[in-house]
Amino acid sequence: MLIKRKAPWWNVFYLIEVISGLLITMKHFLFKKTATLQFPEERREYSDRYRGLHYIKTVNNVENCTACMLCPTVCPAECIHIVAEERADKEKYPARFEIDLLRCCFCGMCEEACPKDAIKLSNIYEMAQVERIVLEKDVLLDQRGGK
Amino acid sequence: MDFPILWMKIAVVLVGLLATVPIMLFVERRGSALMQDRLGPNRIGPFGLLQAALDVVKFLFKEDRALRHTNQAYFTLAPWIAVVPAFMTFAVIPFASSMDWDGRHVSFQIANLDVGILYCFAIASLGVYGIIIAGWASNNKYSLMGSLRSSAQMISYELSMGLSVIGIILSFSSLKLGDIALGQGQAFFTVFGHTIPKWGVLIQPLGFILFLISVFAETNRLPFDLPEGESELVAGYHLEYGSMKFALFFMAEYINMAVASALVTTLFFGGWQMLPGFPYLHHVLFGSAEFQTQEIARVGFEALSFLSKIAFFMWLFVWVRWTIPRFRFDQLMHFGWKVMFPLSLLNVVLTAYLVMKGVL
Amino acid sequence: MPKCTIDGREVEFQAGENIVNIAKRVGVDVPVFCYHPGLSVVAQCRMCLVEVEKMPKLQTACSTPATDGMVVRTTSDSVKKARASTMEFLLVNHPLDCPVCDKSGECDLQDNSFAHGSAYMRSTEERRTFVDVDMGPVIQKNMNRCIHCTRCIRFGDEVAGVREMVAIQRGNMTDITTIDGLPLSTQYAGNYADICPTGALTLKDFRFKKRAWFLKKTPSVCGGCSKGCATEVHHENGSIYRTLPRVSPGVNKYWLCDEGRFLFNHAQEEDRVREVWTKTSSEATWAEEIQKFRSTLAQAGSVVFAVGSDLTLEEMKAIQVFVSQHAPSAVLGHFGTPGILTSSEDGPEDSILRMKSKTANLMGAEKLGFKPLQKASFDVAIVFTAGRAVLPELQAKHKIGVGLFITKEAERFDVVLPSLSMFEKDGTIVNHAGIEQRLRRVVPPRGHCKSISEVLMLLANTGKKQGVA
Repeated sequence: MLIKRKAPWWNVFYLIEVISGLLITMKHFLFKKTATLQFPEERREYSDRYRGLHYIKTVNNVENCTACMLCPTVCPAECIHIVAEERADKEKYPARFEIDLLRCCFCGMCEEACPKDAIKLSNIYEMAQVERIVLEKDVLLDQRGGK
Repeated sequence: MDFPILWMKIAVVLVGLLATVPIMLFVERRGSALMQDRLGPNRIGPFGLLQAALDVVKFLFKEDRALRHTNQAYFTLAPWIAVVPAFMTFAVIPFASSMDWDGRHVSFQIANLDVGILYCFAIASLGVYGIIIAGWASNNKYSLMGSLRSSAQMISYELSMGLSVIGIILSFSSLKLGDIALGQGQAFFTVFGHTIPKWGVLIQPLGFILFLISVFAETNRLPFDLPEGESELVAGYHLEYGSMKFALFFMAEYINMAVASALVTTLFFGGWQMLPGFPYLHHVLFGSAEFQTQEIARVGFEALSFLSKIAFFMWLFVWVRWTIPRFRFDQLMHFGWKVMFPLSLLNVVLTAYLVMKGVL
Repeated sequence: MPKCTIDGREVEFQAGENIVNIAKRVGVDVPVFCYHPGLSVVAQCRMCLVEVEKMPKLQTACSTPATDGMVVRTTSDSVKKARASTMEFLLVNHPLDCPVCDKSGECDLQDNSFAHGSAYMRSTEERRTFVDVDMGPVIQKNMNRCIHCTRCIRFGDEVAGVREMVAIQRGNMTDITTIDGLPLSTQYAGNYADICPTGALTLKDFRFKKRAWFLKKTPSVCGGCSKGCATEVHHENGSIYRTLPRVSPGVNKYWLCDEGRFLFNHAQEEDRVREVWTKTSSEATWAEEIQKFRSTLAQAGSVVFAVGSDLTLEEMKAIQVFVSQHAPSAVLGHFGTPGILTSSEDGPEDSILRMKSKTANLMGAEKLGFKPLQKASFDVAIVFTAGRAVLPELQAKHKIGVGLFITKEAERFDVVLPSLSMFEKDGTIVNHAGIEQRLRRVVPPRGHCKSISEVLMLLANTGKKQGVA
């Protein structure tokens, strides 16, 4: 519906409004601090709850993960692939643990589902790659992401 | 005709106008960024000054794709039609008063045509052909829509632009821009011992506002950039253009801006007439110098004043662009025909009456 | 008929039925651990306690036969409290290793703990731990998880007919183990894993392969012998992970033998022939081989169609029709288990499920009028099998196999056209008692296997349509 707004006659050019608008932009031009962050040099502080690159927590060089498959179960993007096996020092361990980062949506549900505090999301957010990459278990074990 | 001096003037104007483009590119990008609380391109060179230069280099080296669906001949011609008239208009604009030097009379104007202003309008309206041809040759609905809008807009606003200048012509009884600039040096009235010059803006305030708005519309700058209309026409008439062809359109826009600023300055802000304080500065610095030096200094100050005024208006173009949003097309037409046109007619009648009464 | 009331619902029952079964009929779930419908009742887990009116104490629903006019309440506060206490008691020694345990997801203890137990543990004592003995190739034992329901002991005793599992020690340290620590000897060991309500006994074959909740379940019938046990095949993403028995009171009740349970491994073997295989060429295609097959059939003097009695009725009929129309002079006969050529020779191998005929459809072949294959020499022999029938010794110059073969078997043929296993096709099989049952397609075949009917159809197409692939 067209709503007719009554404007005073001198508003034909909206001169006063235009000038006040110009003054506002000039105020920003001259006085306001810029919000830009100079990325590679300056970095934003992220909270510890930030959900970045995944890693598998280890205790005494043994991965916490027992390949219970709760993370692939809960994963909405179906990007986690685990193959479980048995070894002498551990009843069940992930022989293969792959995360397809391109499919991952970083929802953090895997972290929440994990009963062993094994899969975690770190603070690392610089994940641009040249190729399609699937994170293998070795990489996941190495990453500590500043935690 | 003194050809060496003429060629020199042409060279100065041409180089000056070409230099405007990268400078304005820088000003526009950094200026808009700061207005929006950003930083803008600041990585290349000090304060990002070299960014504009690199942009130029990028344009030069970009692949010029031959698009099969376009009309190649017109497609190639269009940007030149847009950019050449933009340069040509500057021929009649005086950027300083004349002086005698080495026994010659040197006027700082490429051509002091009798039809001055009319020439400006005639050539400036040629530029729109570039846009229309570009839109048509692109063989693209958006482009064609953009160029159609452009032509409608040009016709509507050229009318009020022409009419709003008639007041000035009446007041100074000349079409020559040189005469108009000179005329604006006359005393208008005196306030507390200060002589206020007869600048166009003072004797024609309404005319100035109308002319300024029309000029914005003529240069396709916001809030009148409907031919481009990113949100609805993607990029309008230059949608299919890339590399140097696009750069020519880009150049045309900025040179048009420069020319429009020069026109506004010449018609309403005393042209090369010195800014307040400059005569005093001239007197202090060069009062005791030789006559020839004094003359050169005077011309320098005048050119500086002219440039400062142009710079202000060019900054105004940028400033307005990042302040005011775009018109809707019906609003644009409504404004052009129902507000601008009657007001400019009124201005003509009013000025004519005042001139008849001998007030102006 | 006598009637009783369970949670306000009146139910008719037959004399002697216990409360658990009656309650299940009206949709009231009484949690149980030690009770199994196929085993004797011991009432020792105390999980099924219910309140029965006019009885002073809570009663075990599994061991209490319903009487006329009995009023049972399963949701009263005292019952809930009893269940929670029982749950807590059972979990005192149960390790918290559900992430590792193969049973999780289908575990009675897990489910009942969720439904009736508490999320908190009051006990702070250390849990008992055991060193486990090897239980043979089928069962993996983890005594830490055991809740002493003794289902396994009773199964061995009552169903498998071997008393090999016993409980040694007492109380907390009760250890359910085999006598003298020997490996399990029964042919029905897989059932130990099925009936175990916790992860104490699990299948070695299925160990850590897949979590239970990922599996899709298709009801089917075992094609391992002429018993025709009802099975449920668990599979995901085109591969079968295990076979479980499906309750079928007339045939196999609750049980399944190990041979039938691990039958699917044969269909998934690595060296199964999945592309057209010939003795001479490694780049044979379906189109070429069908063409050659057709001309071989046309030129051959004496042809025999040997049909394995592990095929479905539909496939057998298709072969019959094909032979009558396209090779009327050919000999047609069935083969299967050596020595068991007719259903009269078939009989139970043991007292439980296993039959002597190791092919599922011997009865069906006879119903369709197939005769046992006689030994003779032929020009061309064409053998159809689904992988279960033992290949006959055939005297023939040119042998063609259609069906499931592993590479070693294929070498006895000149040409092998890969066809479907029992898990890759729909069909009907007739068991030794004449019961017709449906075989279900569980997974799609890998490679370029074609069904027998498709192969016959391609053969019957007399070349008007070229370019079969």
